Amino acid sequence: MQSKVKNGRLWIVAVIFHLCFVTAGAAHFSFRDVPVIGAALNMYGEISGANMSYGFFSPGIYGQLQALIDVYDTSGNKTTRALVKGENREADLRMNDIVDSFLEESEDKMQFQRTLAASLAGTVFATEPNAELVNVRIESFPAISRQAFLAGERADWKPAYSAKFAHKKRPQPEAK
Amino acid sequence: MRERFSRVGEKFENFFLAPASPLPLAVLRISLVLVLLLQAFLLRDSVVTFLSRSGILQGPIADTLRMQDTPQVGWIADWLAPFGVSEIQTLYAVCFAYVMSLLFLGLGFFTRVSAVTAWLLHWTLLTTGFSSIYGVDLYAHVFLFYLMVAPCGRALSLDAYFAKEPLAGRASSGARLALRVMQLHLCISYFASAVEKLQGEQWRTGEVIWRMFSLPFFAQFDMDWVAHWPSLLLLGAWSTILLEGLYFIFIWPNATRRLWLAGIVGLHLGIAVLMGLHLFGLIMCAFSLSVFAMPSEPSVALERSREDVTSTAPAASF
Repeated sequence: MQSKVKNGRLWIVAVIFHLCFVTAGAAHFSFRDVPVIGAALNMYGEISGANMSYGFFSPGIYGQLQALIDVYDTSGNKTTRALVKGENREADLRMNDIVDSFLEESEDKMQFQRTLAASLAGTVFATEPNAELVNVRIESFPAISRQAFLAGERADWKPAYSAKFAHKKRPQPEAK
Repeated sequence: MRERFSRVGEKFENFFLAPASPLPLAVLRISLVLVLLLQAFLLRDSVVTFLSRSGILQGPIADTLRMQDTPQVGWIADWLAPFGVSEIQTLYAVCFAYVMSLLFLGLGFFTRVSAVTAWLLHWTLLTTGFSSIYGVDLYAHVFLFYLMVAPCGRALSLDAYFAKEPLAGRASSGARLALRVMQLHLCISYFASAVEKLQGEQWRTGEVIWRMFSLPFFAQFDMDWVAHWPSLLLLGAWSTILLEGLYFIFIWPNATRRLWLAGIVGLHLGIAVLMGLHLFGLIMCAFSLSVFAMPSEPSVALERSREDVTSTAPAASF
């Protein structure tokens, strides 16, 4: 026995409507600014995932960032750790996304970066009672072209951002 | 003229509504659940780091980087706080419920309810950890949404078993409609991806493949040697663009489907191995193989035997 869908034509219309949404999302069209129903359409896009765009690694690759955290303890000893630890690829991919958000354009980029760095430092203070000073460093690794590589040029990590945070309650140690 | 229109209309309707086996939907359901369970297992120690207010993103930055007006674990935590439930406890409870809903969905037990629950909880976790998500999460959100509506529990499920229906399920128009939406969604997404790639000069020259291999985060192997093989880079970039861009054409005819599926699976496995995007590669292979490689045409003989078993069962509806 094969069953037929009830109101089949209505479902087809709904499907076409939905696929138009998917196409609009793929074309980076936002319904947010559509008068009256914009918010509802936008929410539908969020709920269904129809607002998703698909420009993975487009238009190109320009480099990557890494976050390093220097922790100075009460004796002034320094330990450095990378936020992307290389132990769990799935976790690393997500951590890398957070580090990448340092590049995000925002109205007040400097304030945004400072707040993000403070958040990263906060996690260190919360888990390490001996931490007195935390230096959050963001480094960039610019991708070099194939031709430059063949000509002998090599890419290296370069400082892109740095912010220091001291524990409020304790005196600040001298960094070594 | 009118007759021609009517014939076209009939073909159009058949394309969307001709009864199809729910087997491809069931395979999609199970494979998606397996990938998401694997993901949950891999991230079991990172729950607090990525999702808690006391995790890697604290204070105002957490709200800035999270999606607005969408469900958050923090909302539930705020509701439960007066009862003495901490945010971390709420977070683990949500994650446990999510994993359970995935297990139920995978087994096809109370499939519709578990699909809705899995979708809602996945969305909640996705929006809570919005700053750390990537392609695999977004695609999973899309296909969990489809599984909520699709008759994916009509085959290979405990629901079918307890309803004394055959495990291969009964053909229905709902299954065809759901299958078509997913197939067309994949076609649109691959085409859009190819169009965006074509706009980048790095893709047109093959440079992007070199740069991908040269970045420490994506380089899984030492690929410096490939700099001496520009034709290989060009081939890699253009085969990606062509496989994606022409997917919507060559995935449909029987004559080219296997070739295109092999190409797409090869592409995603290549991405998984060479760039370390393992789950993304797996989930994309699962989508294409489920909705395009699995036979969806109902077998007449099988249907006859099903009629004997299910003659008293109510008709399936979408």
